[in-house]
Amino acid sequence: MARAHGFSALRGLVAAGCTLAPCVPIAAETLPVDIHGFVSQGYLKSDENNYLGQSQRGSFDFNEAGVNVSKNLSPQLRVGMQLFARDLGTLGGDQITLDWAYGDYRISDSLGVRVGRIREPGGFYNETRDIDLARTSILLPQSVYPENYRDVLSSYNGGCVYGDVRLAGLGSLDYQLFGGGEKIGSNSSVAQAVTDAGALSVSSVDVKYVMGAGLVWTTPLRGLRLGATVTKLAIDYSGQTTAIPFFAPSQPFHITLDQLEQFIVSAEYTVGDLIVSAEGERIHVRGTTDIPGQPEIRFDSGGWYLNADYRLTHKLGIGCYYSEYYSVAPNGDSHDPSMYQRDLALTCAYDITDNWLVKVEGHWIRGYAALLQQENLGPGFPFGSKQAETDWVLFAAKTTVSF
Amino acid sequence: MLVLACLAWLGSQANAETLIIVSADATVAKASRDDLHDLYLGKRSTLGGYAVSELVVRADGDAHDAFVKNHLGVTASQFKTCWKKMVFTGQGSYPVSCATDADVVERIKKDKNAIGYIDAASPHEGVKTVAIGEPDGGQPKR
Repeated sequence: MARAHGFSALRGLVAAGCTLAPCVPIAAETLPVDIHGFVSQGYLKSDENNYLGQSQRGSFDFNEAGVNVSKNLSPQLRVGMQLFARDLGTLGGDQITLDWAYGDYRISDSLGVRVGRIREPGGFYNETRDIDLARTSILLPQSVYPENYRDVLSSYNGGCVYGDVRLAGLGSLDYQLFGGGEKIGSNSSVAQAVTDAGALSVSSVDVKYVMGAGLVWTTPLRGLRLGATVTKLAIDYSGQTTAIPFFAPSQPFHITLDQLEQFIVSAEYTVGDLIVSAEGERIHVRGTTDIPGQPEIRFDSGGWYLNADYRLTHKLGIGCYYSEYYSVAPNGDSHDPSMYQRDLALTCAYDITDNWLVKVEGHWIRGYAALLQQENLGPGFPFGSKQAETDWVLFAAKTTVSF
Repeated sequence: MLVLACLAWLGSQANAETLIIVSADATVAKASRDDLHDLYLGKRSTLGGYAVSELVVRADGDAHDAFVKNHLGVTASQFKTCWKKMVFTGQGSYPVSCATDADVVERIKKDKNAIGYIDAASPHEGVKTVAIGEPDGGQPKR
């Protein structure tokens, strides 16, 4: 039922977008606020393994839509908000959410303050990860921008200070210090990741706090920028264990991840129409649970990628990346394909107009560390009766309209 | 004749010079290339200490392409992508596009916190020009 509401809400958003689009040049001149939006529809098809949805049979459950309004109240003060809905396999369900809504007071170029619901920094692209218009590839490299953590790493309720500091002949330094928290729904990616790990039904996810810092150094070497982001958060999960008839009744459970840390280092070099970027990430998770017989929670993962985008013409861009994600478990076998996922991706993006683009993308993948069990039926997957395939191919296509 | 026409065209391109213009009331007279770069790519909101809240650009075309390439050191596509990121994360509003230099001048006259660029040969009575210098010489660093 919730999903049905989500779809009708998305249809309303799309209809509003299509209706508003032709009016915007006039509206921008006459309305006291700026209104912009986008609608994306994608398709995923894999030859083996279901990834980010039921991709083996072909999945259109891959869309996003957003509408924002904003206004400069003075040269220093800006306010705005964006509504966002998405569907990616079992994630999102086209529920309309508040993506960001904040006031931004810029005291000077080197010091500003934002308060409200804010997009979270993380590498060079986390703040814009839902904006298909802003990059060549369809899927960001999952080694550094995993969909399984998206809900806790995309936006937060709180505040940040930010600014751009000139370094006298050494370029400039963009900084952002942030902190806050949020409550996340049971339909979120992090809730589903826990559901996936055992016979659990998650009812609430509470990000008790999130805090961190992001730095981007624009170096004196023209086109080169380097960055680092550190994020630390604590999450409480609660819900019910699944009943096993005649053996164990359903009972409440509590998981506390009191130490979830993410570190990202980034580099990007732009020369003419070529952009080369590389990022590496490490995530440490530590926590406890009251589920009987469960050990202390301890999980580490990491990844890196190397990406190149080239603009062939005003309208046509191509891109390529190699991405490697790996889980680090105690006594883990680095040759076990359930512990890694290596992805070679090739993309072609074409701007039909300034506000309408289409993309196609191929992924040649080895390993299956990032697959969700619930999307790949079979008890004990990937160790049970249905084995995941180590080598597989994913095809993606997507089109986006913006105004 | 064709050769002469080509030489004349090349000459006009070589002589094409851009003026940065602001309101006649603006207190800024000079700024660095880095200031201009950071302002037009949304990193900063001041030019030489003067608050700027509206960026005015020529609608897509040769004048805009040449400005972003020569003064900002980016391609038109990179400029467009930069502003899409700003708009859809709430960090800024698209620059205002004007079809002609005369429209740019009119827009600047109406908003004391706006900045724009025009061809040096275009009339620009009623607005102020900003000298763009490079304190440490050379091209913009980014």
